[in-house]
Amino acid sequence: MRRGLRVGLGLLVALALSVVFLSYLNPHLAVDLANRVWACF
Amino acid sequence: MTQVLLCGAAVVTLSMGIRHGFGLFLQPLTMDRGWSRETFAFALAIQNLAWGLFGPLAGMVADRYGAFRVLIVGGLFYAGGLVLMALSTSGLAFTGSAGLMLGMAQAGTTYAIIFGVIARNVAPEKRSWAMGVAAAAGSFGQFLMVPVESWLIGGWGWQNALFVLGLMALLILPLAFGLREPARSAAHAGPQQSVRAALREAFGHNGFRLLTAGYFVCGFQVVFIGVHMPAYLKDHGLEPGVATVALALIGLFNVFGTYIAGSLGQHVSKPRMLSAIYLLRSVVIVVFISAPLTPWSVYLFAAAMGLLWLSTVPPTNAVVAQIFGVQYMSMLGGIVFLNHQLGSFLGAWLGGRFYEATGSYDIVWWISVALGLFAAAVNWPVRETPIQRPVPQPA
Repeated sequence: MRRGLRVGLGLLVALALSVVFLSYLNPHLAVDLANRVWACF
Repeated sequence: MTQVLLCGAAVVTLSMGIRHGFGLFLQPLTMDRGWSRETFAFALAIQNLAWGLFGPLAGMVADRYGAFRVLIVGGLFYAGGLVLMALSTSGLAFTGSAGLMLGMAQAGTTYAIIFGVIARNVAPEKRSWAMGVAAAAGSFGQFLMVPVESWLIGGWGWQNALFVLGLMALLILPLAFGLREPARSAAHAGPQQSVRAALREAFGHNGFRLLTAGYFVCGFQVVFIGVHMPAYLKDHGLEPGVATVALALIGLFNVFGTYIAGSLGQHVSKPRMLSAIYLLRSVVIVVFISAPLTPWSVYLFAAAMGLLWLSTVPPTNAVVAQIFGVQYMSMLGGIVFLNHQLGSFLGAWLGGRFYEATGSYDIVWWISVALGLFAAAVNWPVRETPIQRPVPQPA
């Protein structure tokens, strides 16, 4: 049970991190973000 | 323990995350208000200084009267600061809200406050791990909120985005209820000490001074790279998308780095681990600036620096708790963090100063390398041994 919980939690964390990372690579967001970051310089 | 960990992690996810995307407001906000970039940058500089300066005070109040009260006030300041940031029509009002008010809010809702509760409620053998979990949550908040805030600004406009963030900051209030401590829960930590005695003891302790000096370097390196790397990449002709992916990689690997550092702190010497982290940062920077600059060298650098980014946070705070106990953990953590913020200020400012003077970032990169070696050296001799206090003798 404890082991199952850990694995489940690990998978949930991996899923959350993957979704956020992929959001950075989304073309629309990537361009938008790059423009905003670039605008600072 | 689980409740403290979950609520503490959720609070730092919000408090560290929301502030991380503020740079994205620069362009739309200054254009709309007709302000210079300097107005915006000055307010954020004040925010960082206020965060550091109010940290020890917020920590002292949290240690004496409970983190719950500080978190409630901090959460209200956070939400109020964001709303006023959206409504400010003059540079002075903007500095007061986005600078002073949000800086104070961050002092009351970030690591030093949460680590104090964790240190008092988690057994010493799990303390470093627990701090690693909370620090990783803060790192995740930073990673998460950049695209979220970009999306909010793009879809709803910068002003409504700040109102939404204000509502999110209000979530700190219910979470604070999960961090309520029984009155004088620190009593089990041993004989009570006055604030003055705790400060005298800490500043007279060689290990505390060395840790504080090392943390200055952390602030310097992280903020110099965070603020100036996009410009460095642009100067070298790299595509804007490279900076975005680098930002994502730093954020992703930062989550792993902070968690790993916290977990390792249970098994290895924390000061030695800090030395290794600072040494590795210097090595990574030297390799990065010496090798030809390509998108892949940037990605590798971002991943490696991400692993080392906030990995200093759990071991630094865990050593403070181990040496001085938990009674004044938040206040002492706040003092160490104040030095971190002074380093951050210099990292941001000197990066620009030297660039203006020499036309390149080379000198500041090498200052970062030298400071990393200095921090590695000063952390090495720190001993984790708990301080021995004289036991008051009955009359």
